[in-house]
Amino acid sequence: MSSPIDDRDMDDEDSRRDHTRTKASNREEDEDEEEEEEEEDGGRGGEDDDDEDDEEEEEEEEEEEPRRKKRRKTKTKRTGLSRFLDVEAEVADEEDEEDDEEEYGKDRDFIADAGVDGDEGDSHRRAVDHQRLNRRERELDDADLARLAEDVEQRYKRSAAAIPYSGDLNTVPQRLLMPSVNDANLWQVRVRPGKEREIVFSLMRKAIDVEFTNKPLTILSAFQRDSLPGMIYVEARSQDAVQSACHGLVGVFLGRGIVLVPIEEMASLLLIKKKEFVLNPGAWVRMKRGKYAGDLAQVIDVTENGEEAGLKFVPRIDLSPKEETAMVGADGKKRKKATSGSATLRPPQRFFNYEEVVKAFGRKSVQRRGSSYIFNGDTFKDGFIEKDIRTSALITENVNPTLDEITRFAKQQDAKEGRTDIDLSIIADAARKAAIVVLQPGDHVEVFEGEQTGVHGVVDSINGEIVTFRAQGFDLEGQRVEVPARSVRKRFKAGDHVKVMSGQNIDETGLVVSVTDNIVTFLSDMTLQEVSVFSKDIREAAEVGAGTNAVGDYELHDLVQLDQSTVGVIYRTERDSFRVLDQHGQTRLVQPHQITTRRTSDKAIATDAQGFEVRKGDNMKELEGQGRTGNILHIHQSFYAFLHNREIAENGGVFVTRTRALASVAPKTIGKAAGPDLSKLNPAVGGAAMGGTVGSSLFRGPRDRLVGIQVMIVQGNYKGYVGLIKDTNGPHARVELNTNNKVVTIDKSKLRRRNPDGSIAELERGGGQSDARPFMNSAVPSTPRWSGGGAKTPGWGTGRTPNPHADSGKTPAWTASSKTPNPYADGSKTPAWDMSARTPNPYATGGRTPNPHAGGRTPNPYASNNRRGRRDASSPNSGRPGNSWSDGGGGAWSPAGDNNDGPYTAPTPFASYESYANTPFGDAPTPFGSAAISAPTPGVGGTPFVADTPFASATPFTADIPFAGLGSTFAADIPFAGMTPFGGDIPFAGMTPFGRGVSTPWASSDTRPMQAIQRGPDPLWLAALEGKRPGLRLRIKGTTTTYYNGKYENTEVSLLSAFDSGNEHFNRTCSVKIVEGPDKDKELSAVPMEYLVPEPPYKPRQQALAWTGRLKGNWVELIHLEGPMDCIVKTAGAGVVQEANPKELCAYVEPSPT
Amino acid sequence: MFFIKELTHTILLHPSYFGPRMQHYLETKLYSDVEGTCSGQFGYIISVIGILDIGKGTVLSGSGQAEFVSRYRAIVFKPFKGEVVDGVVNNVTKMGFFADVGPLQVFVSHQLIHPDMRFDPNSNPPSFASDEQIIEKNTKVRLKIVGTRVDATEIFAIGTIKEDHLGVID
Repeated sequence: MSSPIDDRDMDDEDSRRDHTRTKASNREEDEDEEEEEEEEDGGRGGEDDDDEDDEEEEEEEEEEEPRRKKRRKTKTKRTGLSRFLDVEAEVADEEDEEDDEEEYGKDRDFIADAGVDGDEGDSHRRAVDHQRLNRRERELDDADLARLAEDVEQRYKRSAAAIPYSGDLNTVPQRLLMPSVNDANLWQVRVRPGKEREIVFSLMRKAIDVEFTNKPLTILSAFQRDSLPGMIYVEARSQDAVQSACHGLVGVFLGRGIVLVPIEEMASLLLIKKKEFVLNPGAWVRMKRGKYAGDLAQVIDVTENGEEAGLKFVPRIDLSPKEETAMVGADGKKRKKATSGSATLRPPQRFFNYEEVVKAFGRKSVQRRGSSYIFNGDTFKDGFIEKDIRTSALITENVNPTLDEITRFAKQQDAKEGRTDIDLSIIADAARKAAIVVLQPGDHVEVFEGEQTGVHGVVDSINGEIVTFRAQGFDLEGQRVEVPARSVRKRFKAGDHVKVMSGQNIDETGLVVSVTDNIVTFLSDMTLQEVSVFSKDIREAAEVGAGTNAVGDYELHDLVQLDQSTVGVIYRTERDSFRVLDQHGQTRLVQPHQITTRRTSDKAIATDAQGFEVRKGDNMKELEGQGRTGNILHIHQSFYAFLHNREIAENGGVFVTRTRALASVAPKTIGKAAGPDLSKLNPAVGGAAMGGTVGSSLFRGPRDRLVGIQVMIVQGNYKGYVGLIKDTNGPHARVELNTNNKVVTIDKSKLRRRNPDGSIAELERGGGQSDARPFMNSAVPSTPRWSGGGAKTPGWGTGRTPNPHADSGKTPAWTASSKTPNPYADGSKTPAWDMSARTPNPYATGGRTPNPHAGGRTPNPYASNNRRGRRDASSPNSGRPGNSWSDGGGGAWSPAGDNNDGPYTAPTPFASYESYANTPFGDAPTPFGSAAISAPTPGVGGTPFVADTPFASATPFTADIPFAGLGSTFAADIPFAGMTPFGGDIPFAGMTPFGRGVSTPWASSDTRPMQAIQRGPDPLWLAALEGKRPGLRLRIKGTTTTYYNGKYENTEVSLLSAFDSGNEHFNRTCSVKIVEGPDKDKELSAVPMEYLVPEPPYKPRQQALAWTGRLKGNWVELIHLEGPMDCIVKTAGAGVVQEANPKELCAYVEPSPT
Repeated sequence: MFFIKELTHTILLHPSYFGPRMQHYLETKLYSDVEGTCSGQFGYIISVIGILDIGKGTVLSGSGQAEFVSRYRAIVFKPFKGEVVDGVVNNVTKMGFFADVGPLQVFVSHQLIHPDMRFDPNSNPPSFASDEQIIEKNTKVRLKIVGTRVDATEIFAIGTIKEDHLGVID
């Protein structure tokens, strides 16, 4: 059994098999198997067929053995019970003979002696006797010798049979067997790499197949060498034989030629180098093939012949029973498929867990035997699988187990047995050679074995395997010590700064926290994680792991594009790959080539939960989830923020979250913000100049000053959109919309400049109110449109609201007839007010018109004025004249009544005013009635009318105008119909038609009386006062059923801010502060703008803004209030003292208490 | 260890700052530039205690800026190996804890904590605790620096409390 493979094999095999044989194969052919079994006594039938190379040898021995046995048998048969007896008998015979002869001789001597003493005759007789005796003795000897020789030969043969006779037979034939020119040649055939073995087998099968046909293969043998991938060797007399043999085999590349192997190389091809497997229990090996390929295993025991080793390793059990059932349930073909499928998808390494396996495969599949389990024919113990594997299927060299793998073994054992008996020195041993290589002069080493154990010092020189170092400490200080390199290891102590030179953690640096034998644990500089490495792999280093965080062009914490929609931040760099956290929070391992590009987010800005700007580098805190804090590394699409916090262990401290879920932790950039940058221009010196240029120079393109300005589109499909002018081309501009990043080409006339404060200005003129006068003329064309509408409410049809933006630039608004031009917008209004301002008469005209609301509106400011005068007296209810009005009673005029009490009662105009006021009131019913007829709903809704102080103020008049213009009562209805919405909560919309219908004819016809009609402010009057609004004193009017159900009706407020939505779909709202009454100082937000009417100044020295009229837009100071319609003011700028209508003024801020 | 050290700092001044308040600018700039920074060589500059010489400005040709090399005296803090310092625990993880020693962050590995003190993952805040002592956030500890890592702009140290007279202090 122990004899090596030698040429005897070839010898025997050649004689036995002449067609095909496979050499250097681990498997036996079936044929052999059969032979073997025949030859065997039957005891070995169950042996695995994939056993060993040397079964050939066994087999030969078996062959020999029976022969020997036979011999032995025959011998025993022949020699009877004991050859000893036989020998003894023979010996006894010989001895007898000798004895006889001796006796005989004695006799003769005796006779002779007697004869000597006797006569002559006796002496002759004695001579004859002697001769005869001699002859006889000689004959005897000859026969004996032959027998002896035979005997000896037999005896030696018998004893020699115990030792295989392999002397001469072994060497002589080998010489003779060396191939010569007369022998068949060896041909090299190229095949698909990896398929060599299969092809050899298929060749063999083919040979068997066609052996007894009329065209048997004429090749003698074929073999393959593992060390020579991609080729097989075929022994044949001719190339044709090889060609025909290989013809039709898949994977054979006959096209690449069949090469003759030179005779002298043939032998070496078949030379097998016997490898010395010295596997010791406890050694580490790796699997070569199969499911466990590459897995680390520990040797438990080795069979005596060293061919099999009992291994322990971590099992890979596929715990998905679905596949298993499929396997069982289906036929063989399917099963094969299933197994191959599971082979491709290799289950992960997991320790055997009885419960899990039982759960997956059922209780029956696992048997328990002592402390181990049997499952699928394998034994599992302590979670490991224990299996005998042929050593040829193991990698025994360069195993290099990693610390991770070993600790895996260790941990499991630890868990089971409560101790670590893992011998790390095994790894260390394996790596010791490498350790010598990494030693360098200057390294701090210590001796850990041998006589000098414990001595440490600094390496002086390394000479081959001998390390010379200068010892430190104790009495050896300064001495030179020479030790074998394998006995020293690098020495580190806590606090050393080290760098990893090789292995998984290469280039990591850190501070050593502990040293246990040859394992050093250090705290990584990069991740602040503890890392354990072998001392051989590290070196003291001064630098911080700079190399660690860069692979290729990418660095740690770079924002990288992984694919079209995925970006990620590198949170860990490995030797040649990255760990990346993508925006969805997934981590992945990527190679540098998988990264499309690196992105920067230096300029990216997002808003945090409070709407503040966040940028890269800000310290933020998560408001939801785990509440982590971190420093923003990157912002992606203004939505995702990647943050980093060293204290978070997960993903290297990098995490991703939504920017909206973040809040700033600290005031921004504390450190850097301190002090101005003295190397730049002093902001204090050139500040003004700079401030001016910085902003605008950016926006001012080289060709057109309009390029880059922010505009709002006031007409067309994109009405209300805000954008930036990208380019201009004659009358057109290309505008990039803010909303959707789209660039649209739009007529410049449809654009308005949008100032930073949100106000709108003429595009070309660069802000300011435009002169509205020109539009007076253009108003004419709009008339037909209105009348053309037929229905009195053309405005309704379109549902448009007056365009607030038209305020500043009316022209386009007018020309674009689809829009609802706002008649009240400035220009047109001015003359009307002028008129009224001059003549108190308008009331006369007002009286003429049946519309009561004109009058209704007028007194109100005064009413409030009065109330202001005597605050305490006023109750919220008193501010709601509308209620009484709805009753149709004169009580509606209670405010007017108040007037009488007020300080300003005296002036004549006032009285007249009152009378006038009454007049419309009296007339009021008429329109009401008509309204009820023409449009019941609005009519019925009396409340709206009540509500209407503002309404009345705003538009009613307008209503008249058509009336006047058309000269029919029917026309009078129109306004009322139009008012419906007013009452019904959409006052604004309701106004529109009024405004339109009314003003147009009025403007066109230019009927003076009409102009004289006093009007309430347009609801948009506020919107028109862009930028000048906060602080204005206003009064809430018309909210009876709408805003808070009129709770704040007639409340005096000061404006805090106004929101101009800029389109008809959203209310224009204001936030205001109540300045009087029980709710003083309460802030109201989202008060619809149309409910706010200006509060005129009532007191000398009070500041006011002319919100309409001649002085529109100017600040004035009230000097003297002459009456409800008349006052003297001084303009703020020029200081010109002039007359003004208080109603055109809106008081500003709190009046001083005096 | 704290030292009083004379140091220099170079300030570049834009011409627009030349004028009566130049001195003031420079001083402010010096303070803001220097205090709280860390140089590997000298450690953390805790506070400027005096400006010895703001320097004579040299106008640089080309830019017109003036360069002032200011000399000042400052308190610096430089940690040394073997130094015993007091700190406040800032963060406790299972690997150990981080303590702030003034501006310096010191990590004390669990290996350098006495084995009696075990990490208690269930405690809130996380802590290392033995029968008598507990180390959690804001605990004051006395520790010995066993190693420092000195970068150009940062110093990091690891410490131990596994020796006599080290550990929690009251």
